[in-house]
Amino acid sequence: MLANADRLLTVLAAALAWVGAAAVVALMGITVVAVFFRYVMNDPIFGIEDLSIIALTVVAGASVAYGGRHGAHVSVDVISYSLGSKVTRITDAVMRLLALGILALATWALFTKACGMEKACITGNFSIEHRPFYYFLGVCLGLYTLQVLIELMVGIRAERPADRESPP
Amino acid sequence: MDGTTIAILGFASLFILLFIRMPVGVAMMLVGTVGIWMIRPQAAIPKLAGEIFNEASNYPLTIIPLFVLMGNLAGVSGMSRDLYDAAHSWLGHVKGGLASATVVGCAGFSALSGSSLAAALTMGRVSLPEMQRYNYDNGLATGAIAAGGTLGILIPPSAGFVIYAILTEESIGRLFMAGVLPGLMLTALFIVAIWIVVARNPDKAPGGAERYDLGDRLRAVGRAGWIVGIIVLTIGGIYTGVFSAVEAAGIGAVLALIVTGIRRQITWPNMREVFASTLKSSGTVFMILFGAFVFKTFMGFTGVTYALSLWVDEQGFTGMQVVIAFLAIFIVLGMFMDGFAILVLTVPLVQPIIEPLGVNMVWFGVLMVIALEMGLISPPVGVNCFVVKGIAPDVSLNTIFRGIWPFWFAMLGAIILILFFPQIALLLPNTMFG
Repeated sequence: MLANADRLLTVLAAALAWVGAAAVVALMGITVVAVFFRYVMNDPIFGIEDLSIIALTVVAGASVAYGGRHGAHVSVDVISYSLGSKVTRITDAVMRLLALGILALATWALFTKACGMEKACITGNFSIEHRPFYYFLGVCLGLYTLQVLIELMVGIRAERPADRESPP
Repeated sequence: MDGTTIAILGFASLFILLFIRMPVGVAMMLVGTVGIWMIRPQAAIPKLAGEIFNEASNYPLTIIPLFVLMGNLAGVSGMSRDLYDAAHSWLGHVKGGLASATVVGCAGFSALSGSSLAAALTMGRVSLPEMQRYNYDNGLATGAIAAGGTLGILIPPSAGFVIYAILTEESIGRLFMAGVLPGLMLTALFIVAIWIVVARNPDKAPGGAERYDLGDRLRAVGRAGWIVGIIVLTIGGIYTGVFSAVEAAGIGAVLALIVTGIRRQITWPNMREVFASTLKSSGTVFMILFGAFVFKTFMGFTGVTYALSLWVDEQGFTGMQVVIAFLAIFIVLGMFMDGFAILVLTVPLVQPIIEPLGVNMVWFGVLMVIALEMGLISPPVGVNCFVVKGIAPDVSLNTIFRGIWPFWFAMLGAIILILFFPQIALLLPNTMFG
């Protein structure tokens, strides 16, 4: 089952990488078009910043999920130098359990409390609704949550010792 | 429980979570959410969702993926190699010149990439074999790469400055400009450090490359023209006010993509590597920011920053004394913690204390980034040293860490100079923004 979940996550992370890469290209294109019209044509495009914000949100979500899948998130590793792998196996399990809790909570919060703090849940110029992008971020953090869950279970079962050494 | 006690408990919990290797952003998110829940339970979940969305859609953060993309394209297109070759042709023949060329190459690459790790990795791969070929001391060679790489978060574009600017609500453009002269000064100090090491012990750099004639040197500089052109356009564009920092990032990325195309390096494996790396680096920064802003909100709710600033005021400390104390704390923390972690953890606490004392936050930002750079090469968790270890598996970590000390002291020298001569950091932003 773990292997299947891991394969599923590989496919989903790859899909998100495509989405994220496309959003980076879009972000680059939007910025250049905005500069061209503002400085060369002397005719700024109304509301183009909204499109940048939308593309950026997609980049942020996809990159966090992809980074989580590939162990890119920064952690401070002092413990493995001073304590042995027997201790880090336990501390990693505790850490992953707590990480799982907060990431699952954040995922749930993004779905249930979308726009909870905002007066107007739309972009400033084109009035694009923010809610779908909260959901997109929820999906991305959900994938990261799933990644941590798999690592937790792998760590506990000790199927892949190398994974126990790397935090999520 | 009063706010200050909750804040102290929050910090203690955070350090425990970081100690057990929880990713920095996740740990801050956890402590921040629990802390907000303890003070205002009804605000905890909406704040968690709201802060994540706010940072994901924070327009100035557009800079991060675009400048990371630009740096990665510079790597695969061979522009970074050209930069090293140009520095090598001018400096390679002098004593310690290959190490100096490495530092200059890192400084140039740093002007295209906001990442210290990318600078150390990219330049290390190019320069280390060359230094080993001429029997450079392993400590000097690896130390020059690790230290040179740290220039990535000082010379604009800098991910460190972007995060600092977002946290303190300072202008990114102003901070970028403030990093230019200190970055150049630190590059010069690194070269002086190399020169002193080699002068004291010539065996550390026994050989030098052959001397290039003027024509070859100019041709090498010409080949580096692409990268120099992009740097001049982006950084010059920000300085002259033609572009905002965000626009410069977009223009720089497109120019780097065009050069990559001209050099026929837009291949499937290259693009896969470039975008995967861009997403991973951007994801690292965004996750930290998600957590940092939840944590910052928690700190605001506790009122601890107000209590601390009152306490500092009562003691009668001057701004300079407090700044020096904080820098000393950052340098010590840098030996155990990641630089970004220190940045996002401490800035929400430090800013309300030093700002009322009249401390210029741009000046302080430069000092803080250099202190964090020291952390990047300080044992036992100097990340850049581990990056260098990855490209020099035959060199022990002890040797690498021994080799960084001349550069560490050069950074300390830079901090002291900027402390007493703030104009080194403030001249360019003041000239530009007034």
